[in-house]
Amino acid sequence: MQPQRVVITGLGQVAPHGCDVAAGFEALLAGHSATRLHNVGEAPHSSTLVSAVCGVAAGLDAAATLGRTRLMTMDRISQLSALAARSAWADAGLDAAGALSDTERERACVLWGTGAGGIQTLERGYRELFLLAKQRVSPLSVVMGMHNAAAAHLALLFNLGGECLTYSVACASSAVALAEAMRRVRWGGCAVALAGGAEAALPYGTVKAWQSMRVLAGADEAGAPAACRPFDASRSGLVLGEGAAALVLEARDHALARGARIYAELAGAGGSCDHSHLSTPDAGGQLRALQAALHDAGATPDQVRYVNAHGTATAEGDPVEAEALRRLFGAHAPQVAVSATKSMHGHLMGAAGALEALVTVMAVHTGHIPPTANLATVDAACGGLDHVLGNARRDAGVPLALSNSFAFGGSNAVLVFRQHGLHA
Amino acid sequence: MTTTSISTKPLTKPLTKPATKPATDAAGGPDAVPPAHSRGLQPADAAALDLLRQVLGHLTDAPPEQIVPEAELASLQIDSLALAEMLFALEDRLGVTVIEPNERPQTVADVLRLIAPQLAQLQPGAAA
Repeated sequence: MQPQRVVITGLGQVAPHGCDVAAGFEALLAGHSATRLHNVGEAPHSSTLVSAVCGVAAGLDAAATLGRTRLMTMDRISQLSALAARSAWADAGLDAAGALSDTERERACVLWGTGAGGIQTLERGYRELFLLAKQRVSPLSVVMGMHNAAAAHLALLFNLGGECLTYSVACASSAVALAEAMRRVRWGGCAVALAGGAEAALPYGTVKAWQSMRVLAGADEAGAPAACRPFDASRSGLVLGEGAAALVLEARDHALARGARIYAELAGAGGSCDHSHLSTPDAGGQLRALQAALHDAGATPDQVRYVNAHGTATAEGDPVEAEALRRLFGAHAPQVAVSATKSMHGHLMGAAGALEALVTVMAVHTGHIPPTANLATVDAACGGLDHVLGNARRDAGVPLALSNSFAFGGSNAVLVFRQHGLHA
Repeated sequence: MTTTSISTKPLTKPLTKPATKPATDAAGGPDAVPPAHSRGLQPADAAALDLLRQVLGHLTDAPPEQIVPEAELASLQIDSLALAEMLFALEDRLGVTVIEPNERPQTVADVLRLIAPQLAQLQPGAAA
């Protein structure tokens, strides 16, 4: 069968910049950082951490939105997932009666990504057993803690009967989920797929594990918003975040037929494995993913206008990504705008790929390119690219953009977004 | 700027109240239930119903006035998972290890019968 063109028709987020996609994107364009100093855990098992926490409590009444019976079976990751997906589903106009036929609904897929799954439920259970010496844990521990719980809740929420799959590929999890969703829509498995990811992995135990790796940026309260400085000579590490982002992928013909708003086309995806180290990235591996993605999209490097970089602000990671991009673009490299929005929303780990895909879609849709915040002096090892520092590039026009996600374990995923209507 | 705490809790009120919490909780929300003894029930039954209403207030959106002995659990949105969590919470509140039903309870009255012996063993006043 002929491959279907795949477009994005719905966006939803529960992110450090809030639950409104347009307002969140505007905050990124304005260079507003959402990273702050937070307390993690409860004394004596507590720590301070610069992190980017999603603002759910302020904007949404989860119990009223999802219902108490549903909510009490959900780990925080499932709750964030459901709220983001609900926004995306409504944004796509799919909450209207009859928007999907019964057959289309029975074939619609959920492809979700998470690195740590329901880890808060696990930690709570361990805390009760080992610390508080309780004899038992909640009977919901298994169904709340399992990695695929969030995806299952989404299928339940919208009555979707196609494949419901969860990808756990560390920090590339939800980019992989989006790539897999694209393939299913492209080859006619489903007209609509709900894809993205979530992470709610900031309990004390997880934070301690990250701190032990010595890759986290440290700062006091005043310095917390500027703690994450990707590609900067003074960068000191990444800033962990939590949240969820959901995208509705749809066969273009299906979207056109129902008059849906189309944000952008998800034109291609590529993946690779570094096969060189558990945590040290490799430019050759990343380059393979970048090339595969562009090939999949039928595009060439010189067509790329913007790259939403993985850019975590670690000492090791940023120069490797810069090298991969220089090798991909060659002489064209100085003309490609690059920014790392993790400088403002932090590193959402398994949800990072989805949130950054959403940001990239908004860049393509609006033509505005967000900056890398806190980037003042580009590290020489990260040079040779058109880093967007300081102000956003408004009305730049973004016909083609990439979103990079590079994971511990060496797994790389790259997504290619094209302005709708540009492809012949 | 104020340092805030990261929530590692669900977005709903967790079931963390101590086992001996009096059933006549005067707090708002799901705990603000009209006392069951005003419905003409025996004091022991009324205490059990009040306790059950408190627990179910965290597990279902069903209004407390629908939680009456003759109500079907299914009509209160209590499915198998919610039932397991409900029994767990009741055990916690009553300070007993296990409530093991021989048959799956179908109605509120079935649950009241299950917890009646445990409730009776509590010290006078503990659950009144």
